Amino acid sequence: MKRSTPNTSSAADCPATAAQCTLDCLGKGQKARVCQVEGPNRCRLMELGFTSGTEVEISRRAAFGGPLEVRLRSYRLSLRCEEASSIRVETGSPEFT
Amino acid sequence: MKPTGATVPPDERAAAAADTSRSVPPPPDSSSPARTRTVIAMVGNPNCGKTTLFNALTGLRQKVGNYPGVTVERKEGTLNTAAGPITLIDLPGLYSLTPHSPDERIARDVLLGYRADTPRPDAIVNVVDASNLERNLYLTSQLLDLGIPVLVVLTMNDTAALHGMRVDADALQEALGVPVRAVQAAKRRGLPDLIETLAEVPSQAPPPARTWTLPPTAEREIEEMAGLLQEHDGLSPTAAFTEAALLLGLPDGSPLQQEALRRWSPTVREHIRTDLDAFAAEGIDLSTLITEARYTDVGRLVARALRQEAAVPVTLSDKLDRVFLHRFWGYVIFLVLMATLFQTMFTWASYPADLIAGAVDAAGQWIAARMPEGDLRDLVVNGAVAGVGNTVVFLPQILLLFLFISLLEDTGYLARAAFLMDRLMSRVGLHGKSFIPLLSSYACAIPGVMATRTIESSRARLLTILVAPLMSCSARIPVYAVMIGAFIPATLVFGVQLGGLKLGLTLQALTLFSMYALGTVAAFGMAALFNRTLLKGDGPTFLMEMPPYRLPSLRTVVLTMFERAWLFVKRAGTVILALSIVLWFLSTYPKQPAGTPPSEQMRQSYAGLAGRTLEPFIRPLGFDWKMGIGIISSFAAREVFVTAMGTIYSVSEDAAEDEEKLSVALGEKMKADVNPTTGRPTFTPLVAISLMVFYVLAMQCISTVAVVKRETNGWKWPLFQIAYMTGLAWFTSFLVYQGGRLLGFG
Ligand SMILES: Nc1nc2c(ncn2[C@@H]2O[C@H](COP(=O)(O)OP(=O)(O)OP(=O)(O)O)[C@@H](O)[C@H]2O)c(=O)[nH]1
Ligand SMILES: [Mg+2]
Repeated sequence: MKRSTPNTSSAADCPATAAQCTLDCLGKGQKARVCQVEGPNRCRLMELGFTSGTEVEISRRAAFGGPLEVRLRSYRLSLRCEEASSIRVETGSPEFT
Repeated sequence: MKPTGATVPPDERAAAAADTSRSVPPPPDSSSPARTRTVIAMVGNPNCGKTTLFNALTGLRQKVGNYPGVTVERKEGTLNTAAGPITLIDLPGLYSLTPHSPDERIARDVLLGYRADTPRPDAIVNVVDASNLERNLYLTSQLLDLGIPVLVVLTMNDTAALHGMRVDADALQEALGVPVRAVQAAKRRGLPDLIETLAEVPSQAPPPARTWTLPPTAEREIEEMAGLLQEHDGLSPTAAFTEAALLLGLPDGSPLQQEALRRWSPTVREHIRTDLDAFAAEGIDLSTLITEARYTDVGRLVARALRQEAAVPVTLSDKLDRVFLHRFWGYVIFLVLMATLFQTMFTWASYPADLIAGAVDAAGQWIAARMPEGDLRDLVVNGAVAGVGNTVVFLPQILLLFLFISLLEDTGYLARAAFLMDRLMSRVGLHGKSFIPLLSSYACAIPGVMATRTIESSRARLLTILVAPLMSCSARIPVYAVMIGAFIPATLVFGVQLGGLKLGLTLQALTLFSMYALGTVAAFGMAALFNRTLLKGDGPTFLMEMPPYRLPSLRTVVLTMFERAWLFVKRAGTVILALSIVLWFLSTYPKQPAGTPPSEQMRQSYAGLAGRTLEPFIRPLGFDWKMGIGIISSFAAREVFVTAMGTIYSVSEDAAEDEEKLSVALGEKMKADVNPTTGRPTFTPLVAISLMVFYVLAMQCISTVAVVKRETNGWKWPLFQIAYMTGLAWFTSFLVYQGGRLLGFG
C-alpha cells in the first residue's frame, strides 16, 4: 500500500482518548482491541480476522525477537513483529486494565 | 457475448507460478462442454480436515497432516452415490478467494473457473472447522456468493467440545440457507447422511442472496462494476457480482489488484481507477468496508449457531505449548528431538539392516549354487541380487526416518518448530514456513520443493527451493551407511556401555549427524548468500495458524510409513534393478582375453572407461576411477552409488574365491581394495569423508531438477542450482581431502 487508508468505520471503536499502540508493543498476556491495519499485508490480516474492534491477546512471544503468537476469534495465529507493527490496537478500555 | 477465451490475459501463465498446467482461463462463468460427471470441489481453510473427509468419501489415501498446507495440489477421486458416481476434487486450503500463496491460487483458480484443465465445479463442499467457526465462515461468506450450490460440512466437532463449544448444525443451516452436516470423518460418523445429501446438492438451487450489506455508496459501486463486467466481459449476473466484490476488495495499488485487473477489459480497468480514486479522496477504503461487512455478517451467524456450553478451559494444547514453545526449554527440546532422530537412525536401524543384509547374501549364494557358472549367473548374482540387495538394506533406516517425520507432522509439532525457527530462518531470508519443506527434504527433496507452495513470499519461496536439495535426503543414507559402517569405528564418544549395548553417542552416529548438519548449514549459508546477492527485494511475510496438538492415529502413521517404504522397495525393484543390470553389462564388456585379471577387466570395460575419463577431475578430492563410475551413475539416483560399487567390486573379484567373497559385505570389499600402483588402500577414512561430503552437497537427482523446473517455470533456476551445488561440492570435498592430508590424515 502506498496510500495511507483513513478508516472511517473504525472511528467509533477507537476513541481518541484511548491508549493506542501497535500490536508488537504489547507484552505476553496483554489484551487489546484492533483499531486499524496498515501495510502490505493489510488485506490478508483483515481476512484473518483483524477487523476493527476485534479483541486480540498476545499469548506468546518467541525468544530473540522471534514471532508473536496472537489469540483472536478463538484461534491462534503467529506473525512476525514487522507484521504486528502494522496493526494498531487500543488498550485503554477498562476491561483490559 | 465474447467468444470463449477472448479475455485470456497473456501473463496469466506467469501469474500462476506454481501451476503445473498451462492455465488459459475461459471466462469464469463458461459452463464446460461435454461434462459427463458431476464435479464437486472440497473447499475450506487450511488444516480444517478436507483431505481426511476426501479420503473417507473416496477411499483414497491422500496425505493428511496436522499443519496448514499439507495438500498443495488438486487431487481427484470418485464417490459412488445412489444417484451415480460423482467426481470429488480435493483442493489446497485457502483463507479467502484472494490468494496470497501459490497453493491458495490453485484452489481459487479451480473455484472461479480460471483453469482450462479443470471444469468449474457443479457444487462446493465447504469444510468448516467447528472449533474455529468465525474465521472459517468468512470464506463461506465468499463461497455463497459464487452462485454454485454449497453444502457445509462441520468437522472437528470433538475439538470444539474440548473448548467447551458446540456448533448447532440445524441453527447454522437455517441461518445460512444451505444444508449443513456434522461429521467425524476419521470415525466415519455422519458419512451415510452426508453422502445422501451430497448426491442431491448439485441439483439444488444456488444459495440465497447475500446477507452482508455495505453503505449505499459502496453498494452502488459494486453494482456498477458488476454491470460493467456483464457488459464488457460477458459474465453472468452472479459471476459478475462475485468478481466485482473480489476486485473491489483488493488493496488499491497491490500486485494482486494489478493481476486481477489484467483479467478484464480496458473499460473496466479505467472505470475502477477513477472510482477508487474518488473513494480515496473521501477517505473511504472499499476493501476494508467489504471485509468488515462480511465479518459483521459472520458474527450474526456465529451468534445463532455457536453454543458456548462451558467456560473456556485451559486446553491440553495450551499446557503442552508452555513447555514446547518455552523461550528456553522449547529450543532444548527441539535439539534433543533432532539428535534422537539421528541416533536412533544409526543405532536401532543397524539390527534389522544386518538381518536384511544376511538374507540378501543367503539369496545370492542360494542362486549361485543352483545356476551353472557363466555370464548369466554373474548377471543374476552380481548384477541383480547384489544391486537391489545393497539398496534394500537401508530400508530400516528409511522407515525410521519416515516414522519420525510422520509423527512430527501428525502431532502438530511441525508448526511449533516453524514458530521456534522463524527468527533464525528470517536472518537468511527464509521463512518459518520454510522449515516444513526443508524438513521434508530430509526424506526427499521432491515433496520438499512442492511444499514451498504454502510460502506467501515469492522470494522466500524461491530461496527455499534453491537450497532444499542440500538437505540430506534419504537417498543419501545408503552412501553414508556403507561409508560410515566400513571406515568409521563405533567407539563411544560419550555415554555408557552395558555389555554389548552402547547407550550414548557413538562416533558413527556423530559422523552421520555431521553429514546432516553439513547439509543443513550449507542450506542456510547458501540461502544467506543468495539473499544478500541474487534476490534482493520484498521482506517476507510470515503468518501461520497454530494447530492444536492431536494424538496421531497409529493406523495412519503406520500406513503412511509402509506406503512410503513400499515406494522405495518398488523403486529398488524397477529403476535400481534395471540400472544394476545395465551397470553390470557396462562393467563386464568388452570382454578381455581369457586370463586377464578381473580388476584389469573392470578397468578396460565401458564403465571403467567412463570412470577413468572422470578421474582427473576427481583425483584432487581423493577419488579414483571406480568412485567415478559411482558418481556418474548417481545422477540417475544417489542410492545407485552403492549399487554401482557393489557391482564393480563383485565383478572385479577373483572368480576362484567367488563364493566365499560373495558373503563379504560391500564395506569389507572396499576396505580390502588396494591401489595397484601405490600399494596403499584406495579407501581411507579421509576418502570416505570426502566422498560423503561430496554426496551431501552435489545435485545428483534428475527428478529434483524436473520438479524445480516445473515449480519455477523454466530452466534458469534448476540449471543455476546444478551449477552452484556441483561447484560447492567439489570445493568443499577438495578442502576436506587436501586439508586432511596436510594435517596428516589418510
Ligand atoms: N479431532 C479431529 N481431528 C480431525 C478431524 N478431521 C481431521 N482431523 C485431523 O486434522 C488434521 C488436518 O486434517 P487434513 O485432512 O490434512 O486437513 P486439510 O484441510 O486437508 O489440510 P490442508 O491440506 O493443509 O489444507 C489431521 O491431523 C487430521 O487427522 C476431526 O473431525 N476431528
Ligand atoms: Mg489437505
